[in-house]
This record gives sequence, structure tokens and C-alpha cells, in this order.
Amino acid sequence: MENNVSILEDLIARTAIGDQAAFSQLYQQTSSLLFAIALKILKKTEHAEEALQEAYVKIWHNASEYNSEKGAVMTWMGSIVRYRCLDALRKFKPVESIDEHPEYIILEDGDPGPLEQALNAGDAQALLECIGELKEQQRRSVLMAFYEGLTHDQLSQSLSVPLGTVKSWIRRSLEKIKECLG
Amino acid sequence: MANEVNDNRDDMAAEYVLGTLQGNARLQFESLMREDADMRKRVHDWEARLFPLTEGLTLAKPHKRVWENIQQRINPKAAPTKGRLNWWRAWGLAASLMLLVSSVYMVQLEQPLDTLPPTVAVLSDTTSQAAWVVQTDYNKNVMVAQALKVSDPGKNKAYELWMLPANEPPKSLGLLPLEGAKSVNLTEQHLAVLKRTGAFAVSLEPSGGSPTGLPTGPVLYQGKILTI
Repeated sequence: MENNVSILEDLIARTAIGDQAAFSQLYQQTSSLLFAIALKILKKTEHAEEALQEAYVKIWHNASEYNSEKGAVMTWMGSIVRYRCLDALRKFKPVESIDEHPEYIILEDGDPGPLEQALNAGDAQALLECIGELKEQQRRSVLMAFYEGLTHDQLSQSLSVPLGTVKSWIRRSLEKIKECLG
Repeated sequence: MANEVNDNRDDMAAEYVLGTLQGNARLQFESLMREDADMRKRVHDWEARLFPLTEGLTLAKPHKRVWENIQQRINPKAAPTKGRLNWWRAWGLAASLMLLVSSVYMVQLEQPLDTLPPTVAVLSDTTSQAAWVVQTDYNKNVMVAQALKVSDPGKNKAYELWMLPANEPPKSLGLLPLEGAKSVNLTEQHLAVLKRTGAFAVSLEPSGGSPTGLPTGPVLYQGKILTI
């Protein structure tokens, strides 16, 4: 795992000086997770592809600004995609479900690949335990916001609770997560 | 009081990362973040806290057109056919230079067996237009950079040559000539790095070279190092 993290760091450092081969490898190593993030938020393949493209173009141009203070490479890149998707989401009408005939390949569960190994399984475990301590409705509101980019309003409708309640659920849940992770 | 302000700032950072900070508030937060290092740090901390959630996602491989479009966007000049032709032209040039080099080698017959074989690299721009040929001679520990067709770097600017060793930051080999040839004596340090280096890159720098020891300007030329 350590090794995979340093591979990504090496690839981003090379990308920063304009090495297109390194950037191509970086794309191969990371695009299936970043695309999964985009699809979950934007639902439609076409929109997710566009956001993914925009994000990688931004990663290409901003790679020299990356440093470890900005977090792990995967986190930095994934955040660029998420913010891009959140911006895009506000432009499109909400879509109910993902495309019926998706033009992408869903990778098998049994195939972890270098990318999943690069993610820190320990971090995920700790976070899931903390989220598990939240009450069910609060947990759902945080997860729906994170994975699908739902607004306070949409959460309030979807969970059939007043807007003010959703807002305080989210705020308190985030505070609890922070406290729990220490 | 101060704690309350900090809590508020942290709530904002958290909701920005989660995505529930929206509309104008989100835009305002983004401009605040540009000026405010503490806020940027809070955001990065929240990204690190929440990002592991993505591990629950089912990976999905995007269609190959996505990568094609990205390549088009970052490298609009590289039309594939044209690029290939220029590439071959560059190698034609390199081959004739290699002939020259090998005739020089024939004069210096006794090569120690433990030295590395000589190498050649053609440094080209994104349209595969060759600008320099760089050759290394490990018998004499000399590197020669020959300018082919170099575009004007602009006032007070220069081209700097970098080794790209695997898993390490780039290391400078000095400035490149705008015309003619320039030799560089390779130190032990250079040689140690060159052994681990598969490619060169050229960046645009201030006339005295990069002030930081790392490339500061755009990388305009690249070339793989080939063993002759």
C-alpha cells in the first residue's frame, strides 16, 4: 500500500513538469475511482464523463500546486472531481436513477487493483465506525450529501423532515465525526 | 468566544467539503479560502476525514473517449498523423548524428568494458518537432547537446535541461544552447542520477536558470533516452 501511495506521488510530480506519459499512467491508476465518484453524484454517464474530463484537465494544469499538505494524492484528485460534480449538479435538473444502459465498465468486486490498495483501509474503517455511531436518519443525511451531493432542501424533502432539522443534523453529525476521529 | 468562531469556521469547512454549503455561500467561501491559509487547512483536514467514504463505491472504468478528449484538451496541437511524421523526421536526424558519433568512437578504440553504453535523446515539443539532440559519452563522461531548430525563448528567458530519475524529483543538467553545441562535463553525481533516468525534459526558466533547483516554468520539450 505504502508503495502504491508513493507511485501516485511520483506520477503527480512528473505530471507537474509536463510528463504526459506519467499523466497517462496517473489516469489509468485513478480514473475508475474518480469516475465512480462522478457517476454517483451526476447519475448520467454523459454528465459524469464531462465532469471527469474537466477534472483531469484541471489536475494536469494544477499538478505543480499539489503538495502533501493538501492531503494524499487520491484525496486531492478526488476532491477536485467532487467539487466539479457538485458545481455541475446545480446546472442540471436532478436525475432519479443512473443510466439503464451505461457505457462504462463496472469493475468486479474481487479485483482490488492498485487503486483500491492505495486507499488507506484503516482510515475507511475508522470513519465507518464513527459514522456508525450516528443515529440512522443523521447517518443517512450525511451519506446522501456526500455520495449524491444532495442539498439541505433535497435532504429535507427526501427524509420528510423540516429544513432546520436537516441543517442541525448535518452540523452535529460532522462535529461528532470529527470528535470521534480525534 | 474565540472557540465559537473557530467552531463556526470548522463547520463551514466541513459543509463545504460535504457539499451542503451551497449557492452564493459556496462561492463566497471559495474566495475566502484563497486568502485564508487556516481555512484551506481546515478544508484539507475535512477532505482527509471524509474521503475514505469513497472506498464504498463500485469502481467504474470510463469509456476510452474520455481519455481521448482529455488528451485533446491538454495537447491540442498534437494531431496524430502529423506528429508521427515529425517523429520520424526527428529520428532521421538523430540517426545521421549517431553515424557521426560512431565515426568518432572508431577513432577512440579502447573503451573500458565497465562504462555505460552511449545514449542519445531527441528533445521534441508536443508536435514532435525536434529541438535538440543530447548525447552522452560515458568514456569521457561528457554530455553534448546539439541545437537543431530552437525557437526564441523570449527576453531574459532560457531553456533548462532536466533529468527525470524514477521516483525522484527532476535534477538539472544546466542551460541548453540556442544554437550550436554545448558540452557538459558529467560529475559523479550526474552519473549516479543518469543511471536511473529514462527521459529528459526541458523547461522555460529565467535567463540564469531555475532559481529553486526545480523546474519553475512550463515543460516545453521532452525526450526518451535511448542506448546506442
